[in-house]
Amino acid sequence: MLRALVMTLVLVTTALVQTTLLPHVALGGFAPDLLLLLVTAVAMRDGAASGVRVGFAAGVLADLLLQESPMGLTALVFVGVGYAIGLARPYLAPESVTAPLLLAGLSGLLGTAGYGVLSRLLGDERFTFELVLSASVLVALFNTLLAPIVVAGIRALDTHFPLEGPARAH
Amino acid sequence: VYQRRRARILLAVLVLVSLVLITIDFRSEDGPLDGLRGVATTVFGPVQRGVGALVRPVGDAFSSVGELFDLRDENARLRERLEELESRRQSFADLERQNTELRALLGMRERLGIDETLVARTISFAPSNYEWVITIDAGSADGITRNMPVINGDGLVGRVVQVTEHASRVLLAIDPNFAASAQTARHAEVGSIRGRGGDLMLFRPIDPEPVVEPGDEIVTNQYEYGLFPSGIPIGSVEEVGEATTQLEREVLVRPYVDFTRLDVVMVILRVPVEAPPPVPDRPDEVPSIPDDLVSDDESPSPTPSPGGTEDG
Repeated sequence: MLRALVMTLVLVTTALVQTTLLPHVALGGFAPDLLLLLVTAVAMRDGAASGVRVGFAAGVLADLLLQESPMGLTALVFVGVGYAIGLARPYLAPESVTAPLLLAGLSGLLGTAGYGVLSRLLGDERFTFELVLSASVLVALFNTLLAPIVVAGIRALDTHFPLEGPARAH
Repeated sequence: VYQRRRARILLAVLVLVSLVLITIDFRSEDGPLDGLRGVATTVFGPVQRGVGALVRPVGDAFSSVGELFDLRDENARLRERLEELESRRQSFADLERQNTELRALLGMRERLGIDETLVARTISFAPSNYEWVITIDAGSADGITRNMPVINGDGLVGRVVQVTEHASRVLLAIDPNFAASAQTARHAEVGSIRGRGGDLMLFRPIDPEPVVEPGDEIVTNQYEYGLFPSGIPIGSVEEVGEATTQLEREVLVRPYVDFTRLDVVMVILRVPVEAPPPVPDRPDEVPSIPDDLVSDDESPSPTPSPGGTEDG
């Protein structure tokens, strides 16, 4: 319960940073996708079930703050990313430094590209190949750079508010 | 194994919910989900305003670190800009002359001018790399409605796409969904301009062999969509492409507005010249001539039959 509350707070704060601070660091019109990175970090740490849940919440939050895109599309993509990263988790060495960076970059690339491709399939003509490619590559790059901070943050959150709630056991 | 099964069930359920949401959103214009977005704007608006004011200096610091690397470019650009401004001063004299002529032509028509405007501040940007939308801190309570043009000191910013009581969302001119009628300031080559995401915009002149060269200024034109008053500066021509097989020429335009550093913007509450009502398109019908205009020596026929002009 407490963890859910904290996670909600983290999600809302991330959305605020995403909508107020990150546009200022945009490169060529593209900025890091912090919400996607957060979903990736949670799935890497806690597995597919958490990844899917947090992915859905983060996606719906992003969808609410968007205007031109269909509601639910970001949720769909983030749920997919959360599940896929969660499945990869058992194969990662727990203290590996490169694995989180690699997965953050990969999820940035595939998540952003996936969103673009789905939108195009839904008939949105503004998603040109060139646009999707440049967005995906830049998000992958940005998210790889930001991965250490976010992964460390989620690790700290996990130590203070563990998943299965032993804090409530005693 | 249990964990994995649970994850799979969760995945299926949440994917289904997402698909249902997408379907509902696709099937309804201004439906319940649009209302939800309005609620999100209302709830997040004040918080974003506060956080935005807090982080703006941080954002500016980030931006200036980035700028250190291209100071040399900046210098060259500023020099160019100076020359451009010099030439624009000349075009201003030209504009003034045009204005006088137009006024003479329009006779009694009211002088062109944007009187009713509203200054607002940017409070947030869209959380996506495929959507260039900002939220501003003014809404229906301040008289804003959908589709109103938004500008700032540098030129065209975009148009209003969603309004709540105290906040509105503005589709930026660089968003691929944005389109407007535009023309070159110097030779009045008319065409349409649209965003393409990222930095540059795309101007398509109607004339496949237009008189356009790099550095030319592009301004809005109230011709086709009627949303924007004529003459709002948009950007300068960066590159003129070859004509495509459809005899269209693609001209890349660098907007004057820096869309990563939007702050104070101005909403135009009333466009000076309203678009006239659409003319009914009924080619078979001959316009009826009022009785008193028909000359006396002809036989009076107040309502000509529809087939009466076949000799013409």
